[in-house]
Amino acid sequence: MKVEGRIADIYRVLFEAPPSTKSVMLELWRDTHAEYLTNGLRHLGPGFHVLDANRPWLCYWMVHGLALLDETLDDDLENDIVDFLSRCQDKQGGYGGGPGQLPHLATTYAAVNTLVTIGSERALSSIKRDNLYKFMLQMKDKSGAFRMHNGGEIDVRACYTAISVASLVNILDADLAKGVGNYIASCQTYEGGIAGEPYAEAHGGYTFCGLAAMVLLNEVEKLDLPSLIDWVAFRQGVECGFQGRTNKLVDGCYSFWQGAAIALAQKLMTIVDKQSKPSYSSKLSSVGDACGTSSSGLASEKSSSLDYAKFGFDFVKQSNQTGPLFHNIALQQYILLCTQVLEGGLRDKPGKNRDHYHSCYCLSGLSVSQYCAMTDSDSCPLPQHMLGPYSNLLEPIHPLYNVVLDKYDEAHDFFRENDQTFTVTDS
Amino acid sequence: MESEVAAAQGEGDLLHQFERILHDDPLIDEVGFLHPTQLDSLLADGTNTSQHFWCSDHKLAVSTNVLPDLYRAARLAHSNATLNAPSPSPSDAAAPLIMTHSKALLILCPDLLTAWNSRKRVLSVNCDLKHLKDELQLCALILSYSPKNESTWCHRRWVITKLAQQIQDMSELIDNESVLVKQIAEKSKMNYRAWRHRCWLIPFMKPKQVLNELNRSVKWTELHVADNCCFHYRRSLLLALLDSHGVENGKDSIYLQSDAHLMWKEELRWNEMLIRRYQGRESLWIHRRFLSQWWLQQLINFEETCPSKEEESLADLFLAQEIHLLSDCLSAPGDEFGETRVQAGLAALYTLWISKQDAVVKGKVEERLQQSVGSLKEVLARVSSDKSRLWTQLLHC
Repeated sequence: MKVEGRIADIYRVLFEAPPSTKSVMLELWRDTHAEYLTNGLRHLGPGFHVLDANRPWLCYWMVHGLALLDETLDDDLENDIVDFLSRCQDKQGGYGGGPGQLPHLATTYAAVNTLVTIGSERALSSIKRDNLYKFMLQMKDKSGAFRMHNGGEIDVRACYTAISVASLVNILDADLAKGVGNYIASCQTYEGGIAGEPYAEAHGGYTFCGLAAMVLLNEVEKLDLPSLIDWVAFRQGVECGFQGRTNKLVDGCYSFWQGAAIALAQKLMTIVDKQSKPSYSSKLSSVGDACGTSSSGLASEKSSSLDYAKFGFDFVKQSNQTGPLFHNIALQQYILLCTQVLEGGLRDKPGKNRDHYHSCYCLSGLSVSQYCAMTDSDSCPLPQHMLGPYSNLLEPIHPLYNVVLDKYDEAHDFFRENDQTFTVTDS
Repeated sequence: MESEVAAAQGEGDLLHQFERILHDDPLIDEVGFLHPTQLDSLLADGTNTSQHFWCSDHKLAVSTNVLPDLYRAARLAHSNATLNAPSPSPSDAAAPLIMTHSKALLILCPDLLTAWNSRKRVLSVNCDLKHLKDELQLCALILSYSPKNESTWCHRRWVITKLAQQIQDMSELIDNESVLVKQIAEKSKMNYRAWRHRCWLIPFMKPKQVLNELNRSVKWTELHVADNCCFHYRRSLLLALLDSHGVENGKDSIYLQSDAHLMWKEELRWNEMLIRRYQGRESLWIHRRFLSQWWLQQLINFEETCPSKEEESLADLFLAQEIHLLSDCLSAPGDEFGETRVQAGLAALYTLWISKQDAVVKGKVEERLQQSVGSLKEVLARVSSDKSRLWTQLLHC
């Protein structure tokens, strides 16, 4: 109630303010955020030792945040980051949390996304794709799902990070893709959202991971999309932001996790319509059997010549088949009024401190909500789709990978051209 | 060069002090990282020899200004220890060093998987009960200040799996774990990882323990009706109950009198009581969706095996009750917090949800709705107009 009250106060001030003040209140403070993020890249205080196992994440949160704000980094800084990430790259493939640390799928995801966002030839060619492929195969469990690291647990996030990276650098093939779709489908709960693993509680972060991975695998038909959309839509509350799970408080980072998930659905409406018809066999027809039977996806698992990277590419070029299924303007309102911090950076909610993670994901969520009302992913939003002055407009992202769209296109071309140099050697 | 050596020496001393304290008091159950000024006020009582650490009554405080140096020293020591130890089975000499240094390291940075894995390697060679229980102690310590730390929970599960291979009767261990999670959940509400851990324990439980857990957690749940995690835990327990009663109790099952059926009926009644008492709590409605789904299926199956001569089948009666609940919610007077309005919206959505379970059910629901409050579409338009695009799509059949 306290959080609701605080947010209600903020909104009341907005509604009662004269138009000129309103537009100032709704401004995105681009410069201060850019400063906060750039400073973080150079130097972090001693308290950050707790994130020592997460340094590629810190790079990604800051570099991606800056890219959304359309800020370029100095060449020196870029080179430093590329060098640092190369030192995090394990000799046998994959990236760890820091130099000398065990490779891990999540830090690999962060490192690769950072390098793609930097986008230089040097950055992209620093990724050792053949070792990365071998590392991923090792992380693959016989059930088809992925574990985060050697000796780690299996969950949906590991599946997403693996599939996303593999698709992005064009090493996704039938061997890596086998069985992942079924595992993720088994993690969809009767509530409609997707959990971290089978029989756990539905959760916004995992819902995004599950849905995005399924789209990249072209097996999204295995999910019960109407239930999923229903669950996600109801995570947007009166405060206008998204919550992560039933009855939890609103949190800025879910602007991306839930916002992007439901924005993805806008391109999947033909499947949603098909699944909504009563003749479609009900997925969750028996309690406890969250996997259920499903009609087969479009992907045929025996075809090893399936071009997986194309699914990611084609998806973003597809038009939206419906308008936003969530209140995109309201979400922008929450982000602009409640998550921005005067000194730079963005936060979870009023009363919490800013941090780089929230800065990254609040901005990502803002970008999604600005572009989701347009039919095509890369056309410029009209002023009525945006809250506040037009200068608030961020760069569009590729919602499946969460990298800036231009950078995705460049990387896509790069990894296609360099396919001849990529060979898989038998270990 | 000399100052570097001196600095390294200083860091080494710090690490040594830290590890010494950890070794001398293996029962430490709480760690805090304090600003030097806060630490000074603790040190004022004069019993400590160090100016950076304070330890008393199994509580440890570390001054924040030594953290970077301490961390660096711990990482270096740990790297040296692991480099000199052949993997996967570290030698007897290397093992204690690895354990000491990784413990210090993990208290400072629990995410460091490399350190957790080095402990796993040592324990895989020598996994007697005492060592495994020490691991649980270390995990509990870290969770006391970092209750959401995934790596720690993960390691804890690895330890328990190892213990399960050696201990015959896990019930006491499981009980203790359940209590631990409850304590953590009290301080850190809706902690996904903690509750997930509690659900993970369920397959280790015997049916009697499952029933016990269900009964024991009723009071706690009543005090936390907005906490979806504890309802999810109850659902997992109920599912486990179904599994274990699946094959047995053939006759009881048919007549809806098995333990599971009785439990379910009671749960439905209790859930309705809570819904009426606490307006607008989404987690209660979600729980009801779960309960109704299986219950309706059972009633419909029952109808097929023993068709009743009454005009209304059990399923009809149940649906009548649900519609009655809906109409009560729709007609409740408004309140200053807007909770009755939220309640009405949730009730309408619940009704939409059950009507989509089965074509037969859908027909029955629509029929009764027309008789009392109007069609589903009309009801939704009244109470949930802001999400009209969403439910229009969902109604679209």
